[in-house]
Amino acid sequence: MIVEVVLELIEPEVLALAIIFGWLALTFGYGYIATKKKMKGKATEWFVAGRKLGLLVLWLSLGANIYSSYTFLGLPGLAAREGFSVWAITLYGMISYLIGYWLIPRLWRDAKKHGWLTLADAFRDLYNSRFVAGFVALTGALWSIPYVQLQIQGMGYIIEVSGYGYIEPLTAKLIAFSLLAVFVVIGGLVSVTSINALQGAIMLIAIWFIGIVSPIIAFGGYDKLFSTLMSYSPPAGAKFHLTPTVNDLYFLYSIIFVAPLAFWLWPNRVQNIFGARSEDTVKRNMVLVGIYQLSQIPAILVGLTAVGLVATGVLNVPIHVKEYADQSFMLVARTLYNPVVVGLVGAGALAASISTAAAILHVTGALFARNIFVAEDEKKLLLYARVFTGIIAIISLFLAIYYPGALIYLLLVGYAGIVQFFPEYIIALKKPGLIDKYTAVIAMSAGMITVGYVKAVYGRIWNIYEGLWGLMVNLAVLTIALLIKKYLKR
Amino acid sequence: MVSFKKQLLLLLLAYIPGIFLPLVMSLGETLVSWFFMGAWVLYVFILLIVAYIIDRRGSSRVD
Repeated sequence: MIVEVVLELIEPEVLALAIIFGWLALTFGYGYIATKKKMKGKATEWFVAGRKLGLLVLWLSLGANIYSSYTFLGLPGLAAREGFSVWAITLYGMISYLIGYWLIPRLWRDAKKHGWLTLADAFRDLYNSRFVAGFVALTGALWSIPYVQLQIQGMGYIIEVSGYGYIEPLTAKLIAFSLLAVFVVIGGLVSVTSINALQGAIMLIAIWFIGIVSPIIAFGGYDKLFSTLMSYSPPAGAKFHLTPTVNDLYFLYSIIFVAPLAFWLWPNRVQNIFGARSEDTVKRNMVLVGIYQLSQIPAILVGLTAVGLVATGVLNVPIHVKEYADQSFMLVARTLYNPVVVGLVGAGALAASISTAAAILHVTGALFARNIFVAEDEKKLLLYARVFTGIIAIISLFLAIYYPGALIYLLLVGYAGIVQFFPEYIIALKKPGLIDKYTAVIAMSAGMITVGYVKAVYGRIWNIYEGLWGLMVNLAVLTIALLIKKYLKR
Repeated sequence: MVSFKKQLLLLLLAYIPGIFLPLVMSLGETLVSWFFMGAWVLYVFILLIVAYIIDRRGSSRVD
């Protein structure tokens, strides 16, 4: 009754945007209070929240940190654009948790024991070298920039669609991201985790609601959605297909073996893990955050629903084109629900983008300040971290405005770069001293250059994930270096 | 704590359905392929829970 009256009195775009920005104000307000209460100006609080995060806060904040615009917008977008290929993304994510269960508690233990605040700190101790730490910090921050860019583009799409064009996307992006940057610069991980705990809760509800309910409202059930899609003929040039092809297998097999190795090496995720109170909290979270991974299944259903709505003529947009495909989630919400629901799910989707962007921004600032421009005292360390967080925010915003890309591919290229840390990290952990610092840096660089080259020149070779080519070159360099070392010893 | 061997076994088990995917594809049934992929994702999640249970049992024995 109240909702009906409100809907009659207020324009839909104003109502939806008021809910979205109201939620934003609420979470920022909560984050500010939490920051004032908990921050005591110490570096461990800015970097890893004083290692005091409990199970619930870590779960919600880690979920919000990992699941972002790519789950809400990129994944439905990939489902709408390519169909079956989308399963490769969901599957590698789930396998990552199994690998994480083995890898992450050990990393947390070492971090606590040695006082590591960033991933680069781990490399510094494992290779006994500031040079390696600087390399990891620099490349980790650089590969994170496309990930922040992804979030800014996502925010633009959400506000554009849920505001029915009421606010110009560029203006909305500038407002939301400026607020975010200021907040992260002031608060560090305390405010990031405070915001993310709230964001994680709303995004989980939004994705399950839209994914599960929409096919029923639009088609009367999942079977009818699939029968609609199977009788649908995509336009010429569209890649959309439901039946898997051999090319899909190449992509799926290469990505499920490579991407899980990078999943837990993203600097922002590692740092969030470092904030955990105990090893048991870390382990339980590996299982619990898997629930967020399952929420990618309703996200896929949203993408398929968008295609179904186009197939039945309810939605009239070129859904297989990148920009429109990436808006599938909000287009489905706007087509099937009233502005109150659009505002609420828009808030959930915006929450996902902001929370991840906040975490990445925070960590890139931390990496630069701690491992590249090594500060002499704690006061300077905090100052540098804040300055560099602001710089990275501005670079990402600039790229999002002037060089936009497909959401899911921005993420995957980042993964392909980050996975190059994996062999050097594991080898140093299991066989300390086996490879020296220069070999490690050369091998990682060779892998990253290969990824960049393959992506820039070929796009994708035989539909095999570019991270695999980089990893093969990385391992080849390591093998050659070890053989030369063995030969010289003789 | 889950031993390295058990962890490796769980990881291998996670990849096993990949062997059967080409067979499922050869059936040419779209719905079966989609159901298979959904089941594979859920199956890996169950393996994750199994890893946790093994871990808990191991640590309670030590206690």
